[in-house]
Amino acid sequence: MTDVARRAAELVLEPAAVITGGWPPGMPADDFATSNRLEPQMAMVLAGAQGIKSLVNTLADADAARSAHVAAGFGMLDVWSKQRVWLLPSGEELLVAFRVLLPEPGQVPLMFNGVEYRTLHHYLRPEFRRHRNGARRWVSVSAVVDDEDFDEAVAIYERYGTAAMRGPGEATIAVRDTSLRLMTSGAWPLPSARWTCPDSNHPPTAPSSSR
Amino acid sequence: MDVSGFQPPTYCAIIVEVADLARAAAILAETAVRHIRRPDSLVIEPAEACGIVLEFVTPAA
Repeated sequence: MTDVARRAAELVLEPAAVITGGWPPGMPADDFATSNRLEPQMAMVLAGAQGIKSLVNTLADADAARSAHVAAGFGMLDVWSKQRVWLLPSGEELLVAFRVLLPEPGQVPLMFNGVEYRTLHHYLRPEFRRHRNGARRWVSVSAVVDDEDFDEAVAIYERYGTAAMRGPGEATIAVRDTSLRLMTSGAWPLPSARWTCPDSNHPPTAPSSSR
Repeated sequence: MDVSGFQPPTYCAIIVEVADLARAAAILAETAVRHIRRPDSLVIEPAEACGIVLEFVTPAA
């Protein structure tokens, strides 16, 4: 691996976003891609029921990152370039350009992709970095993997962060101030997770109006 | 809350830090998103959050 490729692999991958997807069962991926102007390879990533489909990582150089991953033994699709026009409510149009790197299907236990943002300044606009709910940052993203894939998944993501904690069937990998929590289905939900509380003790807050 | 429906491999939960839970709760109520209020967090079940558990916490949580 070259120094450039090593730097690309080690330094520039950080969680930037998640992609959620899902469309009606039975709808062909090509139809979904066409109706949403998606490349077929991205449509495949977004297939199936609603949920988080991929962890998006920023790349300084998509080609170097691809080379690094191929050198490390991963099958990677060719990098492709994309441009989109964002029409803002104000009427302003923004041309966003980016390059995308995806693993080939079946190469990784959990899908992730890399994006080299060519127009990063658009994403850094103050109004795009604020939400009225006061969101500041991601604390963590959790994922469940098959028991037999757990060690491989941890090994893959340890390339991008620091394994802050590891126990039977669960591991937390820190990437800057965000962490990825991996667990086997037997460990989900984590014993420490507050989601396991009986609903009767914490009934859902009723909507104030219907949607 | 039913969190048993996740079939591996899949991402299943996101925790987001917010500045003020009361403010976040008010917006959830305003937008009619059902959620569970806990002393130190707000939890939205998968049926309301695109198939994932979404939890809002404050820095002290």
